[in-house]
Amino acid sequence: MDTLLKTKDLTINFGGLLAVNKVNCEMNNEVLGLIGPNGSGKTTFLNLISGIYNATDGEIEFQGRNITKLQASDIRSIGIARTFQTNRLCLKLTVLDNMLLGLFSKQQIRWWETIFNQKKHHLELRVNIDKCLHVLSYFNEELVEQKYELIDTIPLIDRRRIEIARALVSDPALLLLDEPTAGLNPQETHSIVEDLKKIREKTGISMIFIEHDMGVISTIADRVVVLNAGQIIAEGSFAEVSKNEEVRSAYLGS
Amino acid sequence: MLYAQIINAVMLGCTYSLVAIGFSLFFGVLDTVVFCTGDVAIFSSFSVVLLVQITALYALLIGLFNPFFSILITVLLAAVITAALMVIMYQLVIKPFENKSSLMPLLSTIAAGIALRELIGIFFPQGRNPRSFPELLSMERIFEALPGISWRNGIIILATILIVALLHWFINKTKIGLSIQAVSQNREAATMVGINRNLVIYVTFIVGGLILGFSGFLIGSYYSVIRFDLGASFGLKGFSAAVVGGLGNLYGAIVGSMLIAFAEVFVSAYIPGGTAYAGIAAFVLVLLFILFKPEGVLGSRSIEKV
Amino acid sequence: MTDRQTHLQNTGKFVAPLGVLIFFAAMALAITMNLWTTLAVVVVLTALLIFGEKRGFVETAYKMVEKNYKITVAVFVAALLLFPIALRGNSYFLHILVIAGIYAMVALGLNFQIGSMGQVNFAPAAMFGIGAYTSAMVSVHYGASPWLGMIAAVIVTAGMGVVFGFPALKTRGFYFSLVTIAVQTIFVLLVVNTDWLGGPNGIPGIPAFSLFGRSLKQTGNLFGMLLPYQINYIYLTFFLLILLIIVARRLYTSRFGLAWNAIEEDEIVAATQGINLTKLKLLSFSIGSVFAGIAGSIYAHYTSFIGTEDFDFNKSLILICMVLLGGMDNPVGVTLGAVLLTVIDEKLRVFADYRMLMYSVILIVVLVVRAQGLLPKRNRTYPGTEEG
Ligand SMILES: Nc1ncnc2c1ncn2[C@@H]1O[C@H](COP(=O)(O)OP(=O)(O)O)[C@@H](O)[C@H]1O
Ligand SMILES: [Mg+2]
Repeated sequence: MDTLLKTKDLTINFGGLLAVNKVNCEMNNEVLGLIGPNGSGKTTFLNLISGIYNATDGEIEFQGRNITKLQASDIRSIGIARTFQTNRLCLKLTVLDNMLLGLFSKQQIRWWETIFNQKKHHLELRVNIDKCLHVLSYFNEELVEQKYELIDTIPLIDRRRIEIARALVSDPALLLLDEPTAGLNPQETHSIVEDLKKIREKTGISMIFIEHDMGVISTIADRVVVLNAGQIIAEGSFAEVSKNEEVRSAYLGS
Repeated sequence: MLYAQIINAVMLGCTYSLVAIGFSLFFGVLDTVVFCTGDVAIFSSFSVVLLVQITALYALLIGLFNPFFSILITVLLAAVITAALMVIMYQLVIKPFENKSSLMPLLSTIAAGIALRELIGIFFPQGRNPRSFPELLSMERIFEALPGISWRNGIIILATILIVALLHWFINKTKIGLSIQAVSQNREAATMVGINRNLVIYVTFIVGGLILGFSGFLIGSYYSVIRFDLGASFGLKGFSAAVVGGLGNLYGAIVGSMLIAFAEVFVSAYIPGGTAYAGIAAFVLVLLFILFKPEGVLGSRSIEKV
Repeated sequence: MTDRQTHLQNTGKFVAPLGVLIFFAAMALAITMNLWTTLAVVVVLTALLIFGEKRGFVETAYKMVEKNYKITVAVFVAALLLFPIALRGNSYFLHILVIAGIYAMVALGLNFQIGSMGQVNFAPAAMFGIGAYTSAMVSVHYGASPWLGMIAAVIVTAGMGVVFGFPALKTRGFYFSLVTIAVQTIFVLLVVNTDWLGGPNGIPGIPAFSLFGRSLKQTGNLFGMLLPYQINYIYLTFFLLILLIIVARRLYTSRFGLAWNAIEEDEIVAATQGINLTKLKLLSFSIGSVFAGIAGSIYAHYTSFIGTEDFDFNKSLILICMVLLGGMDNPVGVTLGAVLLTVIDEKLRVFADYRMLMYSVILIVVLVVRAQGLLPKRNRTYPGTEEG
């Protein structure tokens, strides 16, 4: 099977702190669980892939293409979408507008066309809104009704759903999820994880899934990578990894 | 010629640097640019004029003490008034906008600066006319052999150094000074270790206000004629200097001030018709820095945490 | 259609046009009476808006207008056409209207940065000036038609928007503001020190526009009514202004307006949605500059004399006040803010000393009391999807 994403000696240096240190990671079409203690560099790893940070050293390859130097906006356009650990929706915009933002890179219309070619604008908007509402309804029918509500008024669980939907709406090939269940209760966690599993089945999208809850990881991840202090200390199936001594000691805080 | 220009530039740099330090101090604790800083400094110049020429306080003092103490008391008084003003400014136009869009304190402090300068223009006697600043520092040379170093110039340079040294001591050696540093470096961490952020802010505004108070006296003495709207250009130069030196870094503020002063003086001295473009030189320098070295001379480049 | 919607449509048919007429009456009052009446109009308007918002009247009013869009617009245009004719007796009042329209254009352009992107641009007056100077130079030095001057102004301001925009847009927040302050200051200093541009003396004798072989500076005559030449300029200005409002509204509802809002809230999130920050900011800056450029061209060929004092830092601040007071990211609100402040500004000529003090106080009061402005930005709703 083709390699989807591959990092070679990926490194970032924050003034002496190697938050991600020579990480070599390869993934195919799969759900990759990324675990590791707090501060081990999981979020930083996603930030590097999604183009928010520039790597100090090393390379990132996506679908055979070197994307190390690409900007965050280009990374999204070539099919890598993400969510954030602390939910980051635009609070002053409506649910629908947040969703439409996710489609920005898929829209063709040029700025002068929005001024001089309203017909094209409306046509494209129509299609986009339908798409957004469709993806939203997948997670929670009620959100469709609430499309004109400001995010301010939406509960956390739905905000998490909207953020995932915003990432999914542009049909990415790879979805990066940074603790999508943080701050949710067990039922809510279960609901989100089930939704993600269904999406995986239906669309075959690949995911990198950062998660603290080992129960969740064991049900959703095809393979697990364990980071500690910026380095990979183990990888393999969940069963293998959970038996690994080094992993245990890293988690128990030796 | 070159010698005289260097002295000019150093003097100009001194007048900018205290204002620039003000910008950096406030930015450090608040992450906000307090745009009225320049106007507050000029307000202090006018306070000195008020104390000396209008209320005859200085005349009273000079009857009691020697000139040195009379000047010191007058300037201290002006500095205290300025510090009080700075605290009021914080209360009125900065505090209401904490935790709101960063555009609001930016606009409100600019507006406060304009209000301050207009109030001087309206209420100070003959406020809109240029005003001669009392010549408290002698223009005579300190050493016959050294032209350009008058008592006035010497005192301005010495006072600047003294203030910076005092500030250095305060920031690095006192408990509250260390708290100011902690808040500047990492606000969340500082509050977590139990630093009272409110107290730190007030102290910073008082200290900054005092520094601006002294700078008003130095600026007035150096220019010998002041205008109500001088604060606008001092604010811009001071802010530019702070950015060039590295916003938030006190020593960078001095370096930036000197760079800008040298650029201005040398453009007007050595480029034909340059006087007209001296003002532009400072801004071109700022543009270059923002484009190619946004962290400034002494600032450190940090990657914004996501 | 629900009962409520039919009701809105039926009553709105009368109420909305009536509202338009009342608005024009209030404007007439504000323009023709003294400063205190003007201020009273502003205060009453504000009170009505705030009270109306609490009770939901404002929302109802918006709905009524939306449901009866055509008739409201028709009444508005008719009123706008007749308004200057009604005021024809005093050419100074007409002058205020022209200036208001011109500033409204610049404010609309400025809104793309402040309102949409939340970045304070302190150089709108410089862009306004670049437009005015370009247009004036083209027609005075090269004897070209003022219309050509306007086209040149558009091209040059768009270019300048990109040139100055580039350093400004690599940065944000305070750095962005500092860059624009630098641009504003450099512009004034350069013009004052360049003899070719008239230096401190400005450029006199700028020709007027002409249309169908008639100069717009000619007095008109309608059924025996003498129409001062300012009326020509009012029609020209407001025609262009309405076009620009339409452009601004279309951009607001497009993916670009949305992207600007996203940039305002969170640049990182915007970037990860595929929004190229540099391109979008440049777009905002250069479109805004073009708006200012068009306005500058009209200004130059209307006043026939320009000097740097028309385009200084204070003017930029006044323009910022207009955007803030009117309502950020709401083109109609911005226009309202521009008109109101221009009228007040003209009334304040008698109290010239207090002018900047007043602006600074207005700015602070608006920020503290009603940061969203008179007519706040509205959430986007898209026609065709039923409303929640
Ligand atoms: N922009 C940054 N500047 C400096 N240090 C950073 C930055 N971003 C992350 N770090 C540091 O890198 C380390 C890894 O952080 P992170 O990737 O967030 O960990 P995790 O997500 O695994 O909990 C931490 O020590 C964090 O403080
Ligand atoms: Mg993390």
